Amino acid sequence: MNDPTNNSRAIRSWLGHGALAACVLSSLALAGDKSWLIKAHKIHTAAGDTIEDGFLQVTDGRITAVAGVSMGGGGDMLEVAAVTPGLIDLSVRIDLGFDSVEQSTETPASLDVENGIDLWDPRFERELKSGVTTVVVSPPDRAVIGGWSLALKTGGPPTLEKRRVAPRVALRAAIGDEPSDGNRPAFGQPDSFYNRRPTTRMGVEWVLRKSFYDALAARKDAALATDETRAFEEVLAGKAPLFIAASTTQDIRTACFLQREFKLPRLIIDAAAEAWKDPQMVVQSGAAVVLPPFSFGGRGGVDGAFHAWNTAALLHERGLTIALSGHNSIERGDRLAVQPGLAMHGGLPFDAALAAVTINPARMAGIDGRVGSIATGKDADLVLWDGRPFEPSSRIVGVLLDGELIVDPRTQK
Amino acid sequence: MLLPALLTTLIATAATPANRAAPATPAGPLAIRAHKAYVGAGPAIEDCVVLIDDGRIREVGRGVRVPDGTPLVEHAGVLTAGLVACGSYDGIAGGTTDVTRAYLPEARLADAFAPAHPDFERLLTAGITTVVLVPRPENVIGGVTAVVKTSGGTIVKRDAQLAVALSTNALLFNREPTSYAQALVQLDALLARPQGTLARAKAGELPVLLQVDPEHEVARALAFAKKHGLKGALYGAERAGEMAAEIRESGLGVVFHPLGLGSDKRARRSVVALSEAGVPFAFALEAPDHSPEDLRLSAALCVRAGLPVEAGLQALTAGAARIAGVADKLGRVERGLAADLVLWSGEPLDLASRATHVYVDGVLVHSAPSAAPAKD
Repeated sequence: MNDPTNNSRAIRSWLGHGALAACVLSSLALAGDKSWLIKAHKIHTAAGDTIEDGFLQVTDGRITAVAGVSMGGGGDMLEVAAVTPGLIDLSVRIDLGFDSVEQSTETPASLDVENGIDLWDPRFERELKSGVTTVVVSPPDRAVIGGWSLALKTGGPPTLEKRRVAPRVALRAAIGDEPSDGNRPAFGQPDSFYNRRPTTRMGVEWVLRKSFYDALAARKDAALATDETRAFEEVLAGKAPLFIAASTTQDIRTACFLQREFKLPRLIIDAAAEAWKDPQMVVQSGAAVVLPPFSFGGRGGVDGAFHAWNTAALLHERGLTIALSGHNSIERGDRLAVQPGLAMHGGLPFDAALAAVTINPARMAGIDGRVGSIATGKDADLVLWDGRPFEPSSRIVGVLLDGELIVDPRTQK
Repeated sequence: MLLPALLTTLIATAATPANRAAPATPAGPLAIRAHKAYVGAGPAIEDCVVLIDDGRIREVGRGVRVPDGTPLVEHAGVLTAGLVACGSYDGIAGGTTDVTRAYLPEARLADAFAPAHPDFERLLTAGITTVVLVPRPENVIGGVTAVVKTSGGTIVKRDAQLAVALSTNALLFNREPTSYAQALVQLDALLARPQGTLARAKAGELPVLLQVDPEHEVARALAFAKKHGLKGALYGAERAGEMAAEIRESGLGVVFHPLGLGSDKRARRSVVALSEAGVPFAFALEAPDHSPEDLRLSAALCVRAGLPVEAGLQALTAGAARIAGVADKLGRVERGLAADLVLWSGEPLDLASRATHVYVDGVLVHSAPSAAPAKD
């Protein structure tokens, strides 16, 4: 438990001990619903270590101490087999369908998806109860550039002020069939001047490249700047990532070509099922990758992209930063909490699988200051397990969101 | 419509149903003594006398003396002010949805008002004497609503509210905007340099009617109204009662869709909760999609869910007139206001009761036999 030869562990234990004592006292005094003492056989912090037989103090919605020493007594104590940070899904796809994406232009890049979502949507609660505490919501892929994605909590009071973790975490783009598919008439050729363009993959790519060229032109001539070029400038300057949906090999290649042509500092490729086919290209682009849910048939997502079991393991071995996603599937077997287990089945080590649903997506969205790992000062978003996390034999028995007990392990026996 | 002989004998004045399209004949003095009257504020008055002259109410109260020579109508039932439907599509010539343009800030519903339309006779049979004509929520800005009488072709208020639909119904796939986000951006731009009706709305002179339904639309509309300092009411908002605190803070009222027998229990409780929070509210009728009796039914179902009877009646009369911005002209049985009155065979929110006599501006415009079911 406590290894006296491990200095940092010993120091943290000592610090934790003092902090814990103080916290236990304060939690007794507050007796609030958002303060807990959690005892776990294993605390998987996702910050680089696992604490055995440790304690975790939550005070008023935040993590106030993590320690490897046992405490006598305490306030409201929860005792479980394992704790992980709350899970994070970067591609949750809970939106209002076409009402959440503007289609009067292919590049409504200055729009915020937060103005077109439904915080009362029961799907958020379903995610929360299955352990997903933070999600990134993007406009549906019906415009080439759909606008700004938003990071928010899956529970709490239904206001943007309370749930928003960060606005404008990424600029959403889509290549592949989705943004052009619906532009073609059901029968025959487009028969009107007013038909939407593009109608092909090439056309989609051209819309994207033109947008970046326009932004570059606006750098030289301020008179050319528009709300849209300013959005692209954020991406060009690396202030926000381009979050681009690309499933098949050809679309992933297109994303990588874009990165190379415009030297995009931050690129995230979403739903990149076929990233295993040419991983070196993705490595060279410096992109991070979000994988769609593993399905038992292998084929899933758009364009029938083939998602191999070992995709996550293979990308991890190449040093890529990966995140897993459940795409808000209604299938229990597709939910985010089971994705790490499936990736492990394909050869991904446990620590990497944990990171792929916690700290990696937090870093990709730039919200790791608040969520993504178990560390003092972070939001108390936690998942409590009755066994080794992500194993088919284990269950989620508890979920905390900002210290609030959403799923109570004491009633899950 | 045929007037039963029995009733004509009761009414000394030569009250024949006026042609709905034509202006009402000037009404002579009249007195009504009702067994019970809900006058719009305070408790019901027993044996209440209402004196009417020149289309207006001159005197109200128990023991008011009826001047010699004034015809007196004795009514054994209940008297209320004429009902006000806070949103309807009746008698509108042509559609109110422009599928090519999402913003119609200068369109006026008064221009589409067709007083001779047979819809209005049906409304009168249900005791509805005033309606607010609203556009369907299919344009982001649908136009300016109008308050009209159901008899006589009177336009009470030509520019009542500016209808703004922050609703999925206004987001068509073939017209800009197609998304909530773009609709908000465009509305913000219009209100940044407002002209015409938008300038009047922004200055607080013209109330807005924010057509919204699910909670997220209500939340968006509240934020929008707050941002631009808009006054007025939400329209729709079935779950408004679950957000009563936020709505009260906004200062907006609420116009609910009519409730049918199959309506959601949550929707009825929502009305009760909103009433308890002290938010002004009323009901729309949305005829001809709904039967005229659905207005009374809406309030009755809320009473069943716990709403006090007085609050239910208030929502159909004075409260509705207030939201429509015509409370200084009608909606209560009060000296100086229009003599729009309904005589009910029993309690108005008892669905077995019927409107036996309906007066608009002091003129008897509808009467039905008390012994037989009303003809539609």
